[in-house]
Amino acid sequence: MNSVLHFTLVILLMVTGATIFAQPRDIRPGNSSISGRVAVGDKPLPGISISLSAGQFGGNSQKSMNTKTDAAGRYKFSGLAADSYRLVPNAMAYVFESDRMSNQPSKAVILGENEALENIDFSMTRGGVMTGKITDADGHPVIEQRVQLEVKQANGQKSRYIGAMNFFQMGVTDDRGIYRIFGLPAGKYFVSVGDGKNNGSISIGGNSKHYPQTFYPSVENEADAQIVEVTEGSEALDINIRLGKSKQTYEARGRIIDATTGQPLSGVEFGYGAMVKMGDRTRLGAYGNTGERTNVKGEFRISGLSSGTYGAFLQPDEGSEYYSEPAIFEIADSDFNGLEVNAQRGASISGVVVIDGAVTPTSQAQFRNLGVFYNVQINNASTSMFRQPPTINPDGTFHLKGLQPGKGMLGIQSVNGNNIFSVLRMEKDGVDITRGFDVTTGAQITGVKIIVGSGSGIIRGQVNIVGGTVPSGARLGVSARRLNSANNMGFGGGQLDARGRFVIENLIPGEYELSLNPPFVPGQQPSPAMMRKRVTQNVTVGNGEVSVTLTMDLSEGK
Amino acid sequence: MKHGLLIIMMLFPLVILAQEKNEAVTEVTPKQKGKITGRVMGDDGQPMEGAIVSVSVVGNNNPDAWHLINADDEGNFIVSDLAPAAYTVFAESTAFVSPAVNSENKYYHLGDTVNFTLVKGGVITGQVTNTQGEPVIAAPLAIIRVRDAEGRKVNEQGWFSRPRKTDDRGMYRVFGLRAGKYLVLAGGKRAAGWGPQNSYDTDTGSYYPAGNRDSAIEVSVSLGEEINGINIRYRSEKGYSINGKVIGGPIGNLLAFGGISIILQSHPGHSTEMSSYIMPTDPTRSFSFYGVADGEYDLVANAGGGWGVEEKDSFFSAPRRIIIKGGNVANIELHLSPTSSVEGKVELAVSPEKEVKTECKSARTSIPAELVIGLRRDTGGKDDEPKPQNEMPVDVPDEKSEFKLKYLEAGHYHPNIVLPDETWYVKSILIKAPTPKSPAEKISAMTDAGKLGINLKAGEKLKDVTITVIDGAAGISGKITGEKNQALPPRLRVHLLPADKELAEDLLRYGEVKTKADRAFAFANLAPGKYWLLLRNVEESEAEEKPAPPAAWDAKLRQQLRREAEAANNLVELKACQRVNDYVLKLK
Repeated sequence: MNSVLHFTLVILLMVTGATIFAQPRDIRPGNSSISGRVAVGDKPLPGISISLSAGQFGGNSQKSMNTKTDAAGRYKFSGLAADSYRLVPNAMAYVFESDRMSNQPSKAVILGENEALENIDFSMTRGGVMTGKITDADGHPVIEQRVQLEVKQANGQKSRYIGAMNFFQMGVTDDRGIYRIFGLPAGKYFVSVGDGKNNGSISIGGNSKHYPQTFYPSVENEADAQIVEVTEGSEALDINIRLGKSKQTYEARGRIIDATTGQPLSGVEFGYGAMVKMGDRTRLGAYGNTGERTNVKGEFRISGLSSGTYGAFLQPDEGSEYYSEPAIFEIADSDFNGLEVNAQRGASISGVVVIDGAVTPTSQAQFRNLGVFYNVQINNASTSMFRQPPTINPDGTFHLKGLQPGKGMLGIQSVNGNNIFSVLRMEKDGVDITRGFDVTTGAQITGVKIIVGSGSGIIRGQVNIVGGTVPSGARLGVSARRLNSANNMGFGGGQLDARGRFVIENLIPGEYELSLNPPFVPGQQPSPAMMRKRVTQNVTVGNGEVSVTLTMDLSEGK
Repeated sequence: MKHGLLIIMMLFPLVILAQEKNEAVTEVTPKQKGKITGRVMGDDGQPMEGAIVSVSVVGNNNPDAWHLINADDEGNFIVSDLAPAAYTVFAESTAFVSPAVNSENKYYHLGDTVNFTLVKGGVITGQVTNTQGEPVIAAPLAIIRVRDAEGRKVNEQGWFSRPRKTDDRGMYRVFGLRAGKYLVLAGGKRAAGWGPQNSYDTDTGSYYPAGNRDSAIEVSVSLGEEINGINIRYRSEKGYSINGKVIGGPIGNLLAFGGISIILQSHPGHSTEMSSYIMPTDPTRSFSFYGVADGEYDLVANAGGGWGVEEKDSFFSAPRRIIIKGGNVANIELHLSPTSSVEGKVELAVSPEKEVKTECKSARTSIPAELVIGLRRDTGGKDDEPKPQNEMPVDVPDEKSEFKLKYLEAGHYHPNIVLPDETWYVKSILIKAPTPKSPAEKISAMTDAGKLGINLKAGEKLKDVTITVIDGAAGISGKITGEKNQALPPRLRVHLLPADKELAEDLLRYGEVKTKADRAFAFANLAPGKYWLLLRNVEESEAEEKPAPPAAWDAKLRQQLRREAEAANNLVELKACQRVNDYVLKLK
């Protein structure tokens, strides 16, 4: 079954692509330490494994340190250098607050030199459990079917609960059709199985059977869904769902042609996705590809589609000269044949990235990982079809092809996620194009110069919250924007650590505006009153460290 | 269903060195598309609606190579509009397994019907608790198959495709298991495989019932059977670490190679214990493993060669033996060197009408697109070699009848050509010698790879291999009988040897096949000539899934075979196109 397995892996790589390219960082030795306690109420939790990794976003387990809590629920990491760290307790059956969206809740800590940081505690509650059996229309168990949970928020909105369900096969039925989800935060849940209707979700590559989305207690109409209440440490039993008849799946076949010459394009990658209605227009919702390419006649085939509206497009890859808009097709109750994807030969941009100022070995090494990306605005709606930006050549030159015409903008990013550079300006033939430029159909633009810089300035800060508390699950972030530069190009951001500290590094000397954005709960629209609580402060950065304190007042009426 | 094909694969291709004249190379006929159909049923006779069927072209260089479909409500599937080629066809349905022994891939062609019967796999359940008797939560499980249903050792396979973990009660349930004996491991990086970090990653993990691998008890499970109470007492034992770096290989970042994979294999057994990954943009190219238990291991690295990654070349490291005994191992260097490849073309020869009559000619129009070119590694009988990184190099010839076998390690290989029907045989496999460096150097015409096999050096890109296939193949089939009332041994192997002394060293003319319960045997795709048939016992320890390397590969064994065959004197002479059926081979 090797080939089937490979297929799954490709999907996984796409989904986790961002994680894969996030550079792990070594933990450096030093004289500081972090310690704390893990407890449920007053009761210590012994034997909980905690991992520590360096960097704001942490790293992977290969470069992390691990310890376990002792009988008193205490843990300690010593011998650490001053740095940003992330602490991840591995306690799947428990619920605790995390400071970022992740499959694994965690806390960031900024540690100083010779600092013995204490009381980085984790206060846990025992998560709830939900279990039940999924059967098909004939009463047979449905095997390896994923159960989806949605949480009803205080404002009545629903948001998808992910938790550890994606990586962990938790929430997937076994050979008896039974699932068991644990470590659930207390709340009101909607439980469902099957494909959603018009919610833009799609399983690329598809597997096994497609069932219409069915909610607990075995209803297809979302309005009839019953809430399952989960409380701390409780077990919701027999949350069983009987599914309707599985949906027939269909195939779409088509070809990709050069819209100008009508010639088929062979060996090009194609992608597809579900179209969703956004107001009065339809656009691609979730999309992806399987790594398959068109054959010698430019033909492609997409299988495993249930009824719905889809879009297929040429998936541009590095070196591809073409782009396409999605060709929209509708699957009702039969295969779709004769789909034609019109690909256009795109524009090209070439130029060079140069470092302004002194080049250090570090900046030289990081420079090699820079990529130049292109964004285009069409009808004022930015589209950016996923495309891994090609890294620049060792001499800084770059060449982008297959670009969609429109109001184009260039940007830089680092393929390892550790970008220490900011764009100072971009020019072509002496003209500033930092804020974008017109790219006409098939244009071949050369001589673009992107000037980047990197400094040794650091803003270190402390955030104080007065007049209230940050709502549960909300996050705070700080960003720095360089002022008085030719074009106010923004740069740098930091996440608040467990003590409300942040650090922004690699800043070029200059005047910056620091912004502390109001707390937001992921998936929820912050209120206008909350939006107005944004705090800004101007900071002058030199070649060293600047310390800043930002205070946000959450009291009413402020 | 595909009896003939199965046997061909047991055979090495057969050869006669060129002596016939008037051969014409066939024209390439326009390729007609076709379909592969079949049905997936459960062993209860019910159709397996929704089973995933994978139909893919052998090799990996065809963009249109792969089709995944679901069986319909009657269990049927059709994949149409297929170009002529050799295909592999699999059916899979979660929690179900195919009871057939799949030690060798079977290949299918346009027009074939492939039927599958899937059986509910075995189930193992249990609870993992710590030494205080408390449940161990979210611990990953590895289920390692170590023996087949008859208790014979097999190539160890871990459970990676569908990770299982204990729940909040410490309970686990693993299903869809093939019949056999398993080791059950809780915790440790081996069990975790890929995935986010886990509390138990740096432990060595605990085998059922309570400790290291030496004290592990094998759990036997049959198809459809549920084994409960495989409870593991988890000992949180810190393993040791291995760290080091990868030297050499591609310069710059490795985006085009998808990074470097480092694989830690057990020794012996050579199942993957753990794998690590160096990110494409990590300039240090350093790696580390944690939670490694005492024992012997082989460590290998590779860059490129992965599916879905387009690389200019790919790189392997030679395996590095690591011994862990009560301490960490540091500063291991793995040196990447380019992989080897074998390239060439297939030539089709047609025998003149007077030798091979029309009715004996192949009805197929798409040879050689339907051929499978493969290589089998000859380890010289050593069973403790690390697993090759490309275990089964195969390719199908392209429109120009050219093939390329990539990602090969240095070593000795034997060509393994699978023909689409029984009218053809492999006449020769020749390698054109490299151009002589000086005029004084004698031009050696050709190396006979059919006879000698291929000796591949590290990084060697071997070109100009010509495989000549010709029609007029002969075949022989029959049955084994004993003396009256004589009980036949449960498993026998029939060997086929060229009787002509001049062909004694020509491996392409040897063959062997294991008989099944019906005592029948068959050899097809034979070059005309004189052959001996010889019956031998199959070693008791040889598992069906892990056949011994062909006896003829070993020079000493080959001579012994010849002596025995000469003494037994079961001589047959096969003319072009001749099919001898109902041959009775007596066990003496």
